[in-house]
Amino acid sequence: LDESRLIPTLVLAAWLAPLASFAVVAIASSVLHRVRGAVAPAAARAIAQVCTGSLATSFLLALAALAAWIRLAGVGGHAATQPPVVGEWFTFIDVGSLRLSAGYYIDALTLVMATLVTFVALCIHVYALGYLDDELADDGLVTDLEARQAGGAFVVRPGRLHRFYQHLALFTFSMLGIVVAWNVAMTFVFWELVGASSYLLIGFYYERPAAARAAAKAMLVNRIGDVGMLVAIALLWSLFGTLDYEPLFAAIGPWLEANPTSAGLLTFAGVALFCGAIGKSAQAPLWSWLPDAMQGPTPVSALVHSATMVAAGVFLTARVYPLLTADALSVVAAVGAVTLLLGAVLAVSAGDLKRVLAYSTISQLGYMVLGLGLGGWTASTLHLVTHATFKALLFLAAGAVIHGAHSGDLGSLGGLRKRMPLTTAAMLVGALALVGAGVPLLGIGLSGFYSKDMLFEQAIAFSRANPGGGWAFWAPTVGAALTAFYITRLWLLTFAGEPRSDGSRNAHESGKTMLVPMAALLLAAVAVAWTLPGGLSANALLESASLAPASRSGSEWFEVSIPTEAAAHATEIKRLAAFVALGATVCGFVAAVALDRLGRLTDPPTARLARALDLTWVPAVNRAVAGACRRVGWATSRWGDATVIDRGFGAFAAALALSGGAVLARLQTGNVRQYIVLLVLAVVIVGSLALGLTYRWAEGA
Amino acid sequence: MMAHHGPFAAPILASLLSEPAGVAHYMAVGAVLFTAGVMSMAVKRNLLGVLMGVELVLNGAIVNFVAIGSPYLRGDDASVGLDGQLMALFAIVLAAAEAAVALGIALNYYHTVGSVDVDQATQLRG
Repeated sequence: LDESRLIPTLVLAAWLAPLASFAVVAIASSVLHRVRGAVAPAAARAIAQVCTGSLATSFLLALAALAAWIRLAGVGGHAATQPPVVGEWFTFIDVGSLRLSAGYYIDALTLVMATLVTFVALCIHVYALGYLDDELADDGLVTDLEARQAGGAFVVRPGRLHRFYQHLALFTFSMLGIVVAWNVAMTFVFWELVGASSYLLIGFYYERPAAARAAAKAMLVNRIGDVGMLVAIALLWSLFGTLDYEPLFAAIGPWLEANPTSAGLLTFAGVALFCGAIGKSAQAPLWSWLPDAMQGPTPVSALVHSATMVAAGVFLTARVYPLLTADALSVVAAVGAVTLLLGAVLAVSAGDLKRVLAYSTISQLGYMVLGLGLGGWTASTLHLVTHATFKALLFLAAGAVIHGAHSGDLGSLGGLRKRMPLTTAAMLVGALALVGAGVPLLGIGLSGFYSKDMLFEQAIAFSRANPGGGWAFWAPTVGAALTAFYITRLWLLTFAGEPRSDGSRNAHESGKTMLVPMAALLLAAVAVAWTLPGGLSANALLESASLAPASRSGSEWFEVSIPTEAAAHATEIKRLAAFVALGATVCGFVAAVALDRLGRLTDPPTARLARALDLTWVPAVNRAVAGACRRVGWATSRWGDATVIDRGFGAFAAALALSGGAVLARLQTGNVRQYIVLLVLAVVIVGSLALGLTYRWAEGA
Repeated sequence: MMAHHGPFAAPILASLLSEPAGVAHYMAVGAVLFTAGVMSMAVKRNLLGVLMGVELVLNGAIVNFVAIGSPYLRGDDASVGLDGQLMALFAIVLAAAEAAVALGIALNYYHTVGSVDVDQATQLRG
C-alpha cells in the first residue's frame, strides 16, 4: 500500500470514527435503561468512555497519517514542497458543469490540523469526565443552581452527560470535515455543521436563560458572515466553473493574466469568503458572540471556542490563500489588527476568568488573521497550532479553578496557589506560552515564542516594504504589551495574594481525570513548536505546505506589496522582532505587577473605559445596527411589499385578469349553434393553413 | 393545357363530370354530406335536427373512408382493400352508441328545459 492511498484511508477512518460514536450514542441513548427519565449514571459513564475510546482511535489514525506523510514528503529543513494528495470519495450532484462531491485535499496543513483537533478533543473528552461529574448523580437528577423555574425553585433535570459526548463527537466529525474538505462547497457544509454543534454545546445548560440566549446569538451572528461565504461560492463558481481547491488554485494565475482589469472581482470574492471567517473566528465587527459563548461548559470553551472551531476561520483563510489578492489581504490584515487590539483592551478589564480568556482568544485570532493579511502564512498557521495548545491548557486550568472554587469571578478568587498548586503551575505555563516567553539570543522558548516571533518578523517586513505600513508593526506590539498585562493580571488575581471569598478558601485540587489531560496539553504547550533532531518540526511541516505564492498581483486600490516569508526571515529582522516582542511583553508584565503593588489590579485604570466599551458602546452599536436593519426591513415590507408589490403589481395583475375575463366571457354566449359555427370556422381555418403549409413545404422539398 | 388556377381544386373539379366514377366522386358526395350535416347542426333549432346533422357528418366521413380504402375505386390492387371498410364498420358501431347517448341527453334536455329548442340552453353563458 503506497502512501498516496494509505494516507486518505487513514484520514477517512480518523474522520468517520467520531461520526460512528455519534451514531452509537444516538441509538444507545434511546434504548438504554432509564431511571426517572435519566440515563443510569453507569450507562452514561460507559457512553462517555466509548466516545473517548473512539476519539483516541481517531487521534492515533491521524497521527499515523501524519507519520506516513512525513515518510512520503521527507520533511527536514526546507524540504521540497510535496503536492497535496487529492481525490474524490462520493458525488452528490453532477449536473452539467456543476459537480458537487465529497473528497479530500490532504497536505501537511490538513494533517497537522487533523492531529491537533483530535489531540485537543481527546484531552477534552477525558477532562470532561471529571469536570461534568455532577451530571452523574446517583439518582440521575441534577439541580441547576443557575436556572430557576417559574416559581423561583431551582431547575431539577435528568443528567445528560451522554448528550454532551454525543454533541462533542458530532463537533469533532464536523471539524475534521472542514479540515479534509477538497472544495468550497464541502467546506461550507461542515462549516455549518460545526456551527450547529457549537449551538448545541453552548446551549448545553439550556435551562439557563443566559446560555439559551448565547447559543442563539452565536448562531445568528455567524449567519451574517455565512451570507458572505455563500456569495463568494456563487461568484467563484461563475468565474471559474469549479469549486474544487486544486483546479481553482491552478486557474487563478491564467485568469488574472487573461482578465487583468477584473482583479477587483477576485478581490470581492476573497473578501466575501473572508466574511465567513470573520463570523466564525469572531473578528471585528462580529466578535460579540464569543464572550457570550462562555456560557457553555468549560471543556467546550476550551475545545470549540478557543482551540479549534474559532480557528476554522483562520484555517479557511489559509486554505484559500491563493485566491486572495493583495487588496483582499489588506482588508484581512486591517480586520486582524483592529481585532487584536480590541480583544486585548477588553481582556484587560474583564472581571470573569473565562471572559478574560475569551477576549484573549479573540485577540490571538486577530494576530493570526493579521499575520495572514501580511503574507505570513506559515507564521499564522503555526500560531494557530501553538495557540490551540496553550489556550486549551489555560481554559482547562480555568475550568479546574471554577470546578474547585465554584466561581470564576476574579474579584472573589485569589490565593489559590496554596490550595491548587498543580493548576497554578499549569496556568503559569499556559500564560508564559501565551506571552511567548523565551530567550531571544538562544532561540529557545515555549511554543508561543516561536509563532509570535514569526508574526512580528512578518509585521516588520511588511511595514518596511510599505510606506505608511507602520500600523502593521504597532498593532501587534501594543497588543503584546496588553497580552502580558492581562494574563499577568489574571494569574495574580486568581492565584496570588489572599483568598477573597469562602469558595476560594475551601478550594480543592482537581482529580486525576482532569489533571492528566492538563499535563498532556502542558507538554504540548511547551514543546509543540520545538524542532526534533533531523529537522522535523511543526514549523517545517507547515512551511512545506505553504500556499503563499512567490509573488502576488492584484493590488489595484491599496497599492500594497506583500513581503514573502523568506524576506521576513532575514537575520536582522529576526533579531529586531525578538527584542520588540520581549520588550513589549516586559512592559506589560511590569505594569501589571506595579498595579498589583498599588492594589488596583481588580479595577485597573482603563477598566471604566473598557467596561463602557464592552457593556455600553458595543451593545449600543449592535442595537443601532439591528435597529437600522429592522427599520430597513420594516420599510421594505411596509412600502415595498404592501404598497408596491401588493397594491401596485398585485392589484394591476388582478385588474388585468378581471377585465380580460370580462372581455372573453362575452364569447361564451351560451348559444350552441354559434359554438358550432365557430368550431367549424376554426377547423376550416386551421386545416387550410396546415394544408397550405404542408403543400409549400412539400413543393419546396 | 388549362390555366393553373390553384394547387388542388381546378383540374380535379373540371374533370369530375367527364371522368368515370372514381374516388373523387365519392369524396364529393362525402363533402356534400359533411357540409349538409354541419349546416343542419348550425341552423336547426330543434335538438333532434342537430342530432341528425351529427349523423350526417359521421356518414360523410364514413363515405370518405370507404372510397379511399377501396382498391376498385383507386384502380390498384396493392392491398386487400378492407382497411377502409373496417374503419367504416367501426364508425357505424360507434355512431350507434353515440346516438344512444345523444338521445339520452336529448330526453334529459327536454325534461329540464321543457322544449327541444337548443337556443333555450343558455345556462352556461359567460
